[in-house]
Amino acid sequence: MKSDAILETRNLVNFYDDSGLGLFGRSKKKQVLSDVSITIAHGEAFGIVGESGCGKSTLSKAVLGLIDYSGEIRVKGQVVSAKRTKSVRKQVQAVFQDPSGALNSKKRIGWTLLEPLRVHKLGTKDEQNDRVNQILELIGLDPSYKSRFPNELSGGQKQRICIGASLILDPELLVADEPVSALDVSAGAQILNLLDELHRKLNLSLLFISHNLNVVYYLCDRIAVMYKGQIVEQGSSDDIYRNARHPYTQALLAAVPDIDGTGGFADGNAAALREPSEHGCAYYALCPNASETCGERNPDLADVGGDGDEHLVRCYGS
Amino acid sequence: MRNKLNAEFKIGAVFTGIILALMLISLIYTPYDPYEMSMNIADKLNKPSAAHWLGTDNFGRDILSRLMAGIKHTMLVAVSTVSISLTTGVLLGLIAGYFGKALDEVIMRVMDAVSSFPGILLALVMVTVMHQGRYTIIIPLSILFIPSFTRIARGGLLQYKSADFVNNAKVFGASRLRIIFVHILPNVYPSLLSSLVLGLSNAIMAESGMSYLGLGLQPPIPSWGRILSEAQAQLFIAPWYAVVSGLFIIFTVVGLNFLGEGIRKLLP
Repeated sequence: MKSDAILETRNLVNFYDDSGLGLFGRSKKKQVLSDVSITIAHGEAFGIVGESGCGKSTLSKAVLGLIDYSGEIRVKGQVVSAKRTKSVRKQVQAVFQDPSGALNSKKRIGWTLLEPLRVHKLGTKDEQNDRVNQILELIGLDPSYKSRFPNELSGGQKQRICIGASLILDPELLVADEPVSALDVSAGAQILNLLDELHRKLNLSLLFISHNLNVVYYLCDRIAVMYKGQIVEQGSSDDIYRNARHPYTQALLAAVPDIDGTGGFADGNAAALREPSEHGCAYYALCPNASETCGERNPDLADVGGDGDEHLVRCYGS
Repeated sequence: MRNKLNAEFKIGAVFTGIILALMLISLIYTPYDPYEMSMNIADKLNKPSAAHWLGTDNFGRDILSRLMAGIKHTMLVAVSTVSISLTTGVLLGLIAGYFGKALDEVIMRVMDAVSSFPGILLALVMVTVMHQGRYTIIIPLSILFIPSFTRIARGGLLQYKSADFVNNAKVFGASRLRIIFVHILPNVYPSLLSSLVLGLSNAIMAESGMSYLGLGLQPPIPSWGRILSEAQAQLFIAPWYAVVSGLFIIFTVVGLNFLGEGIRKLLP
């Protein structure tokens, strides 16, 4: 397991510096990630779900080396820091949420697709062009798109280009941070299918981040549920979807509306049942079945899977 | 040009085009030699006539020829001033914006210091302490114009610094310099372009002002500001002299301002 892990994070911690503008203001530090440890195997699609502000985007930025963090990130077993060499960068690529912002509006699509190859000085001009055409075919767009500007494309096409640009270096791991939430449903579905297809065809590992549990369930082999910067539950997609053990995951699942109207709406801003506790479980304030212990000490992740299947839950009640 | 050309752009382009055309003509042809003085008192301060369209000055020189010949000197000063300050300013602004923190503070506070001096005063002092050459004026004017370009470049850079396409470039390993100059700078061009044109008009105004005070282009170069100050002495004898030289400056400056405004509206 450990040898063929493409990405491992150990006790990842990140603080958001909330010191404000005041010259003499005391530096307040808000913890965004606390002790996040995940392992993604080769060719595995790993999903992260959680509500806005739970730290999932911060996690993706740390994995991409865009922000500072403490803890350890290993890419193919090798420890990497936020400042990375080009060869490490080449292996982990990203697709962002808003395709309009992720493409340089002043550059043609062909330029955008070639740029990573130019930066890494890979191949001759002809080989680079061949690679671009190959990628365009892979993402289902014809070569005439090379001479277009991003504002001439639809959202779905732009996101395809973003995926293409991220695959051009032939990375091992693709970090997709909410790649479909800025798109309409049908364009989003096409992008999901494309990602799924690429994941299978290229044996590409995926770190897929979304607030939508359905989307993650559709695409991923394993899922981690994040709440307030912690992983509260982690296991195979089926285990999470059908056999959720953590009350937060259960609430998240109940929030997914069903077509026949049986699905409930869990109110994210529901009135707290009790005062939040500083040392206790992060979900203590909202948890329907919290006990006194929950307010005193944060539970550790414990494996409740049995029969060899990993299913981690951070809850005393599980 | 995807957008429709707007009225400002058209007016500005026509005005600027006329001035540039006059400048090009003056390179090969002026009605009279702009430097040739006449000892004949009958040639002095003639009214506009068929022979001298805009009359003659107090040395008997043809005013139209002198104004036309003046365009290239004015433009030379304006263009070199703007190129020097644009290059320096953009470079400083991009560095300040991208690296941030202490470097940003130092650069921007120096810019504040430069722009807090009254422009003319600073230029006066510098021209006075520097060796007086024909084109000495370019250096103080360039320094004066640096802060505006620095601010624009820095503002533009900050706008795109955390954009996803920049993050993307970081993720695939582009160097900082490449991100600044290849990825971000093209996005800042539109605002730089319009302020470049406005900068030209400001430089012409400043040069004329300095020349009027006798600190700009040195005689016998026919600078508009100097022509205006010479005309001032003859204001009651030959009012057209001051009026036409003033109109030349106004025409150019208004044209460039319209052009700059037009470009700003044209580019998104």
